[in-house]
Amino acid sequence: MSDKPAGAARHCLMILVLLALTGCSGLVTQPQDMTRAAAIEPDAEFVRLHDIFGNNEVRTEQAFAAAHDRFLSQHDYACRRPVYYRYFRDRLGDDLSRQACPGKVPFRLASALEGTSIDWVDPRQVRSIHVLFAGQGENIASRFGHMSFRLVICPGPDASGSDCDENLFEHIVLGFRAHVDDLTISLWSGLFGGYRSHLYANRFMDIYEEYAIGEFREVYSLPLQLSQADIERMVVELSDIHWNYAGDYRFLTNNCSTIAQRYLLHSWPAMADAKPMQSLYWRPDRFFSKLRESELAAGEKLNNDTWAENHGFYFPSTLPAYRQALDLVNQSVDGQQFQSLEHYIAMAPRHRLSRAKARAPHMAQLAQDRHLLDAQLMLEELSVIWYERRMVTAMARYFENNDPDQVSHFVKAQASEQEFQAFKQCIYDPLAGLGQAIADNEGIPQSWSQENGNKTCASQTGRASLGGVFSTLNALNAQDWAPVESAVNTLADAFQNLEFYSDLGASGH
Amino acid sequence: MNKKLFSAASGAVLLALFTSSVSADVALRVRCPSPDEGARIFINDEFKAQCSADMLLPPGQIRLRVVQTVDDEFERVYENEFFMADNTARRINVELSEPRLTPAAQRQREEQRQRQEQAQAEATLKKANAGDVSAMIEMAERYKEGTGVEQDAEAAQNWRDRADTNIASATLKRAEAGDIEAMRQIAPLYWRGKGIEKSESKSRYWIARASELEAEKRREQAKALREEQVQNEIDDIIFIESTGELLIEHFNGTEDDFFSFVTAFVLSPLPLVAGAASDTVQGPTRTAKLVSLRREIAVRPAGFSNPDSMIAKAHDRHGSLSD
Repeated sequence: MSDKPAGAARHCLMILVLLALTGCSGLVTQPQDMTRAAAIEPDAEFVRLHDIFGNNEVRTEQAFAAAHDRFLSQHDYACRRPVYYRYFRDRLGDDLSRQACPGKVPFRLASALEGTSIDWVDPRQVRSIHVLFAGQGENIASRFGHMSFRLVICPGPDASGSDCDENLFEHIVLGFRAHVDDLTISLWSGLFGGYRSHLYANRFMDIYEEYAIGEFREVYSLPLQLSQADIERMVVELSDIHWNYAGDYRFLTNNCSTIAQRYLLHSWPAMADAKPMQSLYWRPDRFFSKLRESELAAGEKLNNDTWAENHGFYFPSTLPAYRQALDLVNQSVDGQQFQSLEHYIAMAPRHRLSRAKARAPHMAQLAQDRHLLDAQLMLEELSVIWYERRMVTAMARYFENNDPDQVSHFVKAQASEQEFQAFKQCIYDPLAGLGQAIADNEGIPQSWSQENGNKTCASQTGRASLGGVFSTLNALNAQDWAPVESAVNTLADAFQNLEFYSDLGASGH
Repeated sequence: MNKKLFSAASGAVLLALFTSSVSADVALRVRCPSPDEGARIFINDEFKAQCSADMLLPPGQIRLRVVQTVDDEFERVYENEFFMADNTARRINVELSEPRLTPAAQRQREEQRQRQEQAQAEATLKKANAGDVSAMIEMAERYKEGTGVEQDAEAAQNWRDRADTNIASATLKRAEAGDIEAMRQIAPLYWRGKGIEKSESKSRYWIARASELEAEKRREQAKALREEQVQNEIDDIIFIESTGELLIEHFNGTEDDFFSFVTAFVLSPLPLVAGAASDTVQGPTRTAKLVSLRREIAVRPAGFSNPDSMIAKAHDRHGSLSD
């Protein structure tokens, strides 16, 4: 924030700029064991399907043999690999008695608040599919934007259009991102191959927060002109891709935009026929622009910003709102004011709170004016987001200086098993990006045990265990742990401030 | 002598011939141009006279052959065949051909050609036995046509089969080595079982494989194009950076923020880690409240600046459902 950046990280800067151009991240590999020879051979259609729906690290012949085996032997294959199933059925016919598929398809969601969870989506309750585009931010890193799909999921089968639109907290965003499974990023791999890509699923609100609040970017949601039958088929196909696809990600050339376009061109005849869409646009902003102008999407929904914002097609950057909040708070405070959001956040949370408490008129006004209190809360909330980032950065630094595997061994040796699991699930895996591994070649899961979800970090027990973990990490390298502890304490203080103002609102309004 | 006079004179001579000889004969006058005078006249393969000559012949089918020898091998020939009824007369004006081989010379030359063909066939056979596919195909043709060898349909088929087997084997090797054209060639061979065990599935496989590799090739070409575009982008960025436009203020933060940009890609339950930290430092806090406060962060700005925004409406709806 107010700190001046070091110029030493020129190389790192370049990598990060290139990485951030498309704003994506991803998963770990999982080799397949496919030995049985196929009785028939893959054709051009299978090659195309494998490219879009399969694990591209597995050779086509191997993937074909494995898929063929499973088609012949698995009664629930039509549910696990619906796209491959259709292919084999059309090519070979189907004599096997098939298990009926559940009406819903799952997506594994990674949430900042809830850890990993599974959402089962009924395709019939998906009212539309949008292309979600996070536009250029103020920083150069986001100048080409990022694109993904948004599933507009209705609260029930008979819900009205507005009910579906307002069901925003249940909407899911699916985006192709690179999996960077280490803390060091290779520029070469990023540009010319080496990272895997997957179709990640997140709650819309998490994505909204990431872009519109965390990065102050504009977010546009463009409805595709799809029939209900197309929507339902595509939801199932996207689930298929979500659980099975792994590709070779290139930050600039084979990215969220091009992979998504390849899927749409395959699955959506109208797009394949549309002349402007014959080219692959590797820049997400150019693809979005072409799509918006075309008859494939309801571009008119974005013609009026206010209308679009009120109807869920446009989510503006929140920066003006935060600046407005700062102005409002400054007006209420006598004496020295905060010159900028950066100045506000740069001040230690405890100091901020004690300073505010010392200004009785301001506190009294906060208790009476809900809008002012919201402004005050917003400033504290923005600080929470920035402190979270700083904490993540500090932890990443710690693991840059201390080999994560060695740290892991140390924690395993020194801490209890419960603490080690908390360390792994809440710190190590999220930082290394390993926690979101998806493609396991088993296809779309047909059931999901709740134990598979990661609830450790959200539980009181897990939180208590993390306390022990922190002590262990401190014991391993106190010097490197000090910035982490400082960041964690700052964040904890910011939460204390949030609680204070929130309680003030609850008692005063 | 003019034509009319010659015709009258000829008629008188022919009439004289008829009247002075046995009835039921025909009169044939064969006339050669002066350079060809002396050419030998054969009637029904029997030498009769030297040209020019008048002949009385028995009636019936007459095969006239007039031959002028050029040298040992060549001769000039006139041939004509016609029917003459009793008591008729006919005049033939001979026009000899260009020089051509005599039948004897033709036979001699044919024998020589056959000896050469046999020699060539023997040489080709040696090559074919040594595995030369072209020689195998040639042997198949020779046996089929009887060129240089005795005509033998079975032998022809055997050599054709051997050639097909060798072609298929070599094509398969090239296909297996990644030659797309060979893949396209081996597919129909498998399909028809030509030179290789018939297999429709393998035929389909090689067609698919060829298509796959061609697609890969096209992708590689596209990739090369894209990489060029990427390089241009990198050049742009380096240029921008070198001119100072890539300043940190564009990034809204510190160097730390650059790093966090990487790790922030993976949404993690780190706010809850902070909660744990808070527990550690200050004693247990209420988890539910912490989570609730954290959730508010995403919705407050939209509600603050535009209460009619979809985010605000969705939050109201979500809140009422949660209650």
